[in-house]
Amino acid sequence: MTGRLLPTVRSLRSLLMREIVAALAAVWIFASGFILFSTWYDVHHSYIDQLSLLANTVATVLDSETPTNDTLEKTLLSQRNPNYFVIVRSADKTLIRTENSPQELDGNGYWFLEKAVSPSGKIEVYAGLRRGELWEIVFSVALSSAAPMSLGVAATLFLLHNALRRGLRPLTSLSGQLAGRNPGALAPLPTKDTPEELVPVIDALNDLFLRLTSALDKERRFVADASHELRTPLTAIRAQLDTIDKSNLDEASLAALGRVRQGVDRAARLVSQLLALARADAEMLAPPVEVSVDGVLAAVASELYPQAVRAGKEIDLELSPVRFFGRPEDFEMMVGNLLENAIRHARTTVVMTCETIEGAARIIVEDDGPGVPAEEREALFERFRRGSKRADLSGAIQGAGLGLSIVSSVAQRLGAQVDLAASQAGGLRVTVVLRQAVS
Amino acid sequence: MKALLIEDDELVGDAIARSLAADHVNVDWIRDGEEGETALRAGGFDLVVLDLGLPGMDGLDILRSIRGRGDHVPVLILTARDGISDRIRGLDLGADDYVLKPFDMDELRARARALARRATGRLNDVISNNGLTIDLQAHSVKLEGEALSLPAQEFKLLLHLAENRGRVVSKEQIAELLYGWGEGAESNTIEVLVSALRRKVGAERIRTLRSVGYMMP
Repeated sequence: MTGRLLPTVRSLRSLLMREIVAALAAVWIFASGFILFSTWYDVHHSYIDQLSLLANTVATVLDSETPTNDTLEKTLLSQRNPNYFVIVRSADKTLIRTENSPQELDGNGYWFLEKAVSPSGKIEVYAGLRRGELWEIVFSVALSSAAPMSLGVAATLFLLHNALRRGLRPLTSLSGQLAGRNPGALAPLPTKDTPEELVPVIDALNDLFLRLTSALDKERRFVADASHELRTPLTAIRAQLDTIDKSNLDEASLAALGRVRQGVDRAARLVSQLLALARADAEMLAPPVEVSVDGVLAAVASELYPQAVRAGKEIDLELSPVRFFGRPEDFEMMVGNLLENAIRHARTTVVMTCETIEGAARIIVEDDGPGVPAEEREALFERFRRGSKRADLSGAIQGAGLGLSIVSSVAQRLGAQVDLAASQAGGLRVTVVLRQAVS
Repeated sequence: MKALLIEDDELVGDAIARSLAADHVNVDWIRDGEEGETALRAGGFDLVVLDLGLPGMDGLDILRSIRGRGDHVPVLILTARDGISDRIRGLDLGADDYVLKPFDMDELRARARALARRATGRLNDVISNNGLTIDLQAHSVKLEGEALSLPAQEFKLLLHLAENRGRVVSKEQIAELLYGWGEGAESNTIEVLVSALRRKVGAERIRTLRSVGYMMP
């Protein structure tokens, strides 16, 4: 809407500057034209008056006396301007002419002329001057009044430029303040010392911050409560199962008991993953800190190693120091899910490496399991990234689905790129590349 | 031995209480944080099993007040798997060990035993697992019934790994245990020690998580 009503503005200051320069230029052009015209008008008329006075004087003087060059000189000298010429004619014969007078008169073209006839009617006097000379005078007069105006315009522009910068300073400082705070800071902006035009903007922003804070708080609380409420019954079932005296059970019951335990563990895992996803979204705005990625990898591997050993699998780590700005929980969640998937699918060994290459952090988790066919890899990734198909959820409990979905959602937030490929041992190799590692 | 269990959930608390009772532990089970706090002030427990997610009073607050008044009773905390920050804060506040929910009851019992043993200094105890028997009183180790002779450092390391069975013990932890902070903590020393121990007890009993630490499965 506003895009159509208003021109797109990249900078308020340049927009204002543009508008003001255009307006000033229009005013300047109009004023200059007016000055030129009125100068021409005044000069023209005063010259007509002077020339006609000259012609009339000469004609009157010559009418009473015998016209000679001498008397003409004298009369001419009484006039101010030596550039004037005078031609005295009688009965179509030129009687006298000043030296600067033209050989031929061409009406009012090149020469500017005034004609007078003596009272007796015998003598015609032409007084005139070169028309170009008239214009030179007009321009010089016009310029002398236009020049200070141009200077004034230039000075005005300069002052306006500075005034605009000063006037827009509150806006600049507000945007600087907003850009400078970390994304998690939702503290209200101060309205003290703020120009009244900006107060509504800041009030609206503060209101938004307030609502966002309370919404995030509510979500965090909900996730924490849900976490407790969902996990407690699972913990209870698991704990009660473990108290069953197995010595009195037959083989079939023991197997059934084992399956129940497996089911409970699976449900617990799913709850953990779902909550991890919800929590990740709720805590999206927490400020990033410098994270030792290799430290996180080592911690996650320690946590999952018992599980791997129980499943008869080995974890091989090759960790170089890698530092990155982010939230440690994000890395734990991402790497934990990748490693858990790899352990589940590996035949014997999972290899996890991390290193910094040309300023980018690279984490690789690969297994020697059956792997995923190339044509299915992208689909698997895409499908779970969208996570919109409900049917996938039941399969996800078994397989990698929800884990990968968590990985991709975390990766997105970290600005990481996740690639799936075949590992050398034939299993799946997941590569996570994080740009701009801390060097 | 007398233990205080502070757990609000009936089913979880019941399972823990019965399991610990099977280990001949006298369990006082309290379901509320504030009552637990009162019981703790009275004292007389060899072990506290504390759930961090309690109604009424935060488990971390209870832990803080226990350590705040200089009470050194061993505390085992129960915490959610994804509550990593809670776990770290719990250990920082002086908890001795933790178990992640949903937990394996055998693990909880083993940890509770190890904590109580360390606290009471009771030495007439035997840790037995998978053919390996560690007699704390006799300071001796038997493998499949045959006595092994272990130097003091190796015995200490083996005991620590056994007490933390099923959990990775980092090289830093081992260095701290054997040498104290900063002294002789080069990982090479520990690697040599571990491989010597492994030769004696069998390689499959001490697993290596490369560049991190060791674990007894």
